[in-house]
Amino acid sequence: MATEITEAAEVKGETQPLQPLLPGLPDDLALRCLARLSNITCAAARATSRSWRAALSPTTLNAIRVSSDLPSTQLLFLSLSSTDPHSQFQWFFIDPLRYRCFPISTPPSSSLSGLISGRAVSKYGQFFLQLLGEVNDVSCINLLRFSRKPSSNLSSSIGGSNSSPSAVTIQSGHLKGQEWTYDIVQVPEREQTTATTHLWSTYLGLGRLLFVACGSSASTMAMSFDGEQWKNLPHLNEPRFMAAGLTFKGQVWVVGGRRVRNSRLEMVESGEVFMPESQKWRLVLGMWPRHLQSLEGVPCLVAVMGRMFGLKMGSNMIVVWDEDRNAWDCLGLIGEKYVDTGFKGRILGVEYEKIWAVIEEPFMVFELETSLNIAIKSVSPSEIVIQTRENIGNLKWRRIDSELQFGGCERALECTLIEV
Amino acid sequence: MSTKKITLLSSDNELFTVDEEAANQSLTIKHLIEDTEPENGVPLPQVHSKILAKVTEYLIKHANEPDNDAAAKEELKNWDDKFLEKVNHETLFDLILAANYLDIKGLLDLTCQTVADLMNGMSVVEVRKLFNIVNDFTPEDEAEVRKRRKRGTKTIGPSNDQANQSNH
Repeated sequence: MATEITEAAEVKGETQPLQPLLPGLPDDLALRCLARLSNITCAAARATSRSWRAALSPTTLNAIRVSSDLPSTQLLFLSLSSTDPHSQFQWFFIDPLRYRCFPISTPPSSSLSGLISGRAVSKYGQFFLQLLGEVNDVSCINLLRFSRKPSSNLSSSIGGSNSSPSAVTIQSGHLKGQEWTYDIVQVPEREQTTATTHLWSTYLGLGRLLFVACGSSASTMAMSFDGEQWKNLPHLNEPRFMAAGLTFKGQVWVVGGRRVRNSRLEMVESGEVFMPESQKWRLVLGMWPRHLQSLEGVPCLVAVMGRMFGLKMGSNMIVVWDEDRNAWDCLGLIGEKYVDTGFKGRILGVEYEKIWAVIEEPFMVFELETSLNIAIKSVSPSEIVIQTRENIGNLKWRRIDSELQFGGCERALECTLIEV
Repeated sequence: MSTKKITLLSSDNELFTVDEEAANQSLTIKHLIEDTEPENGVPLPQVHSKILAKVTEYLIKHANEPDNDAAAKEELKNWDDKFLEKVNHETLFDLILAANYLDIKGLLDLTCQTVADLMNGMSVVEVRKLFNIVNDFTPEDEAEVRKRRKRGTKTIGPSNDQANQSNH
């Protein structure tokens, strides 16, 4: 309740009484209805009235979802394995609201040939794995797309064994029997040059759309995919590959990355945001500065509660973007006492109000216990702090993977958060 | 098996008779029977006969919920979908109030989900009209909202393809 009041006051600096959420129903019952809106619906529904805007916050709705036993609006997909290189991987969904883990069946290994690990991406109701394919002797990326089957078929799949030939199912827990069908989606080659395939494009989901951008030293292409058709988008300003992709305040961002120039590999420090009205990418220079980069992996950026967070590459340091100063502030370190050198992992914005960190090897999951509002307030706005790693705020992290009970899994291969 | 009958008395003094097993799905009614053993029907002064008729229809249908019979579950789900198909939203709200007062979890879930589903594919303007919600944003608020979502989303819900994927 306190959140509602503060948020309402924040919307307008006056204390005018708010009208009931749904005239004719007490607010607690109205919220039980509104908590069932999908995330996509919910985001837009905040524009209905001031009281809706105040009430439809993740903190309020998630509390109701937990107390009235409603499904979470997000699922975390994880592909895990043991350290034995010959071992099979295991797939899981996590309900992040209840910290519940659901094992999923895996497709036959023939469907996964050419799988490039660590590249899972998702959009509303779907997630994608990347497969290395070949067209006319040129390698290309195919997407193995998993779509949630409508739940009306749920009961029949529990009873019989007539599940689709190309589907994976949740094997236990209260989502037992839920099916995710899969098929192959080809990513079209946009540029004519044969040598530039987009093996290292940036993929990201926004609502029902999947965006693909860049992918080689010469590439500035961008496309969107609505589930059926690909649409070309205007080119970015700077070519890059291995860049981070994220959606922030409803806009598509591509940040950092690398390129080869004069046969030398160099880091790209700029970020670009797509402006739908002008159909242009706006360049933000120096957005992913050198001191946050390393040659290890792809930058990891997420948006939570209207702020952008990043992971200093090759380290366990979380930074937060200050839009006014165009600079990053140091927020703190992930799970200091567990994480030493050679950190490899990523952060996730879970349920719009929490940050989780998934460490790939040894596999661990942490949740930031300190509330983000408090954490951001304690940030010291000094870039020297980032460089010297001193004077770091004391964030509290809770290790949650043991609670989730993954048996014998030591390595995380894939990890993506799906809106459902 | 006991087939004891329970009589329910609506706010406008209409009587409804259901099996005890059906009535017990309402925890409020269950406790009222246990505590007071009323002779002339369980008084439900907060529920009008028009609503109580719908509620008892639901209670009777759901009295023997199938556990493992997939076909029966499917049938019950279809029945649920039809049950609220032609109900206007005032009645729907009254049913929510009744389900909450009578503490019938299944009916409360069903009716709340129906309200949420109503909004799928509707524009913000349509939602306001349907539920009589006044747009109380000040011009400054609106400018702020517009600034935030420049993408100009027209509908507030999944209107097509995957619209029904999340309803269960």
